[in-house]
Formats: sequence, structure tokens, C-alpha cells
Amino acid sequence: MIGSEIAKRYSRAFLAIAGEDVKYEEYYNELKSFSLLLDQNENLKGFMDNPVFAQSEKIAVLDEILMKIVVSPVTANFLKLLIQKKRISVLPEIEDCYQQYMDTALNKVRVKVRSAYQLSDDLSEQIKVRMEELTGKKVEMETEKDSLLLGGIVVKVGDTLYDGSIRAQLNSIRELLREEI
Amino acid sequence: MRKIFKGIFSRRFLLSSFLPAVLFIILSAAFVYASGGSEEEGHHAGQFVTFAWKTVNVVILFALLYWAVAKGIKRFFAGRRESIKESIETAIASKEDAKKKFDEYSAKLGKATGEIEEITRMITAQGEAEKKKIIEDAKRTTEKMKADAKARIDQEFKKVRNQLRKEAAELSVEMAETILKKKVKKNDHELMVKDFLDRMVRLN
Repeated sequence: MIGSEIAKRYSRAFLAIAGEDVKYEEYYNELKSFSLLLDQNENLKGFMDNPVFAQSEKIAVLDEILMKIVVSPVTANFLKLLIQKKRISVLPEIEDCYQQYMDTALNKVRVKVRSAYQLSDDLSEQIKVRMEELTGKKVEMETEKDSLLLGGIVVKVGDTLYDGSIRAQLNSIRELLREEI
Repeated sequence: MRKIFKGIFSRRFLLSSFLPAVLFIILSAAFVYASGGSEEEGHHAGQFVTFAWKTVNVVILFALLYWAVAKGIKRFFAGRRESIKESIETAIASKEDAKKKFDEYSAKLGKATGEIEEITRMITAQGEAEKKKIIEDAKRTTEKMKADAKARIDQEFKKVRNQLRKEAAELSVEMAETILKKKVKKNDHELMVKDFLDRMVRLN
């Protein structure tokens, strides 16, 4: 909970800077790419999280990395700040919070769709339009094929799940049949 | 000695015993003498005197014997009478005591008999009550066992029924899934998606 509060505070601050520059998504993508890099590289993550190493050493390593990946000066400074404040370990949470704040700021909602068959472009568009009608926000949709669903789709909007799959109906039927008459 | 003679020749003795005896002897001798013949008168007179003296001697002998023994005999018989009387009284008292004791023991026996009967009746009543209680307990236990058994049977039946229902449900769903896997095609899927979207938008 404390970590979440910290993440919220840092993400709000970073979002404010991004708002001034009108580069919400650009900064988010940079933050996300560095977070992914840390997540994929255990040694680097361990080094950054380890309090034995001096902050200066960590910043030197970060500089080396930033020379190889394209990151805006604002994002680079933000990452250095996190190292200095010993908050680099909460970067994944900051990224999540930032995304939520950014979506709110941009009036955007992220929708995850799981489908039993590969969705056609037309159908994807229809889903997107319907979701936009439903939420009243701009939809950023992510699709995934899941043959276990047998048929239909499962739509996740924020914390809300809409299940229109055959699997869900079979489960409902199973539960109904199991219940005593 | 004076006392002895006084005892022997007491007025009462003289009047009641001695005097009649002397008179009887003298009269008898006179009667014998009067009835004798003239020739033999002198001879008979001598015999009479002898006889009288003998009679007197006998009388004195009897008087002395009476004096010596009568008191003892009287005392003996008097003591004997007292003893018998006492014995009779003792016997009567013993009899009365025995009767009292008999009555007392009879009463005790009667009471004991009554108590025994009461105890018997009480024990019988207690036995009956105990018997009744045991029977009731047994009935209750039996009823409880029946109820428990019925509950267990019902529970087992319910469990089996649920198990069967679950298995049936599982099999039904599995069969349905198998059929759906074969039957549902992409077109069906797209129709389902469209229908779902319509319903989702309509409901929200």
C-alpha cells in the first residue's frame, strides 16, 4: 500500500511534466521500454535494487544504457531521480499508475479481448466501436486468441469482465445442473 | 424339759388327740373286762392292768414321737407347700412373661412381616419402575438409532444423489463441449460475438 502510494505520487509528478510537454504516450512508451528492459534482465535489476552499490555507480550504468536506447531527457532524468531516491524498484508500479492517469487524461480506456477464433478486422472494429459506445471513451484494444473459449469472446474493460464465451455458458450450465432441485 | 411337756400336754393336744385316745383305750379295756366269766375274773383283771399299762406306754410313745417329729413334719410340709406355691407362682409369672414375650415377639413378627411386605412391595414397585424406565430408555434409544440411521441413509442418499448429479452434469457438459467443439465454426463464433456485443451494449 505504501509502495502504491509512492508509485502514485511519482507517476502523478511525471504525468504533470508529460502534460506540460503534451507527450503523455511518448514518455509512457519510454518508461515502459526501460521497465521491460529491467524486467528482462535479472542482473541489471538486481544491481539497481541492491543497496550495497552506490547511487553514482547505478547512475553511471544507467547513462551507459541510455546511450544505447533512445530516451527523452525528461524520462532519463526521471529514471535518475528514481535511482537517487532509491525508488527504481517501484518502476513497474509507477508505469501502471502512469498508464491509468494517462488514460484518464487522454479519455482513453484499454480493452483486452480474448476470442475463440482470430477476429476479423471488421469484427474487431465493431467491437471497438461498441466498446467506445459503452464506455464513452476512446478505446485502445488488445486482442488475443484463446481456443479454450470454444466460441464467443471475453472482454475486459478496466476491472470489469464481460464474458460471452461458450466456455462461460458451459460452466453456468454445469453449476445449474449441480445445484439441488 | 418343761417346754417339752408343755408342748406334749398342751390343752389343745389333750383335747383333740390324747384324751380321746386314752378314753378309747380305757373304754375298750372296760368292754373286754365286762364281757369276761366269773371263774376267770382274777386272771382277766391282771391281764387288763397289763394291757392298760401297755396302752399307756404306747400312748406315751406315740405322744413322744408326735412331739419329736410333728413339728419337723409340719415344717416340712409347710415348706413344701410354700415351695410348691412359689413354684406355681413362679411358673405363673414365667408363663405370663412367656406370654408377654410371645405377644411381644408376635407383634414384632407381625410388624416385621408388614415391613417385609412393604419392602417387598416397594422393591417390586421400584423394579417395575426400573423396568418401565429401561423399556422407555430402550425405546428412546431405538427411536434415536432409527432416526440416526434414517438421517445417515438420507445423508448418504443425498451425497450419492449429489455425486450422481455432479457426474451427470460433468458428463453432460463434457458431451456438450465435445459436440460444440465439432459443430461451432467461425461463422457461428462471429454470430455469437455480434449477438453478445448487442446484448452487452443493450444491457449497459
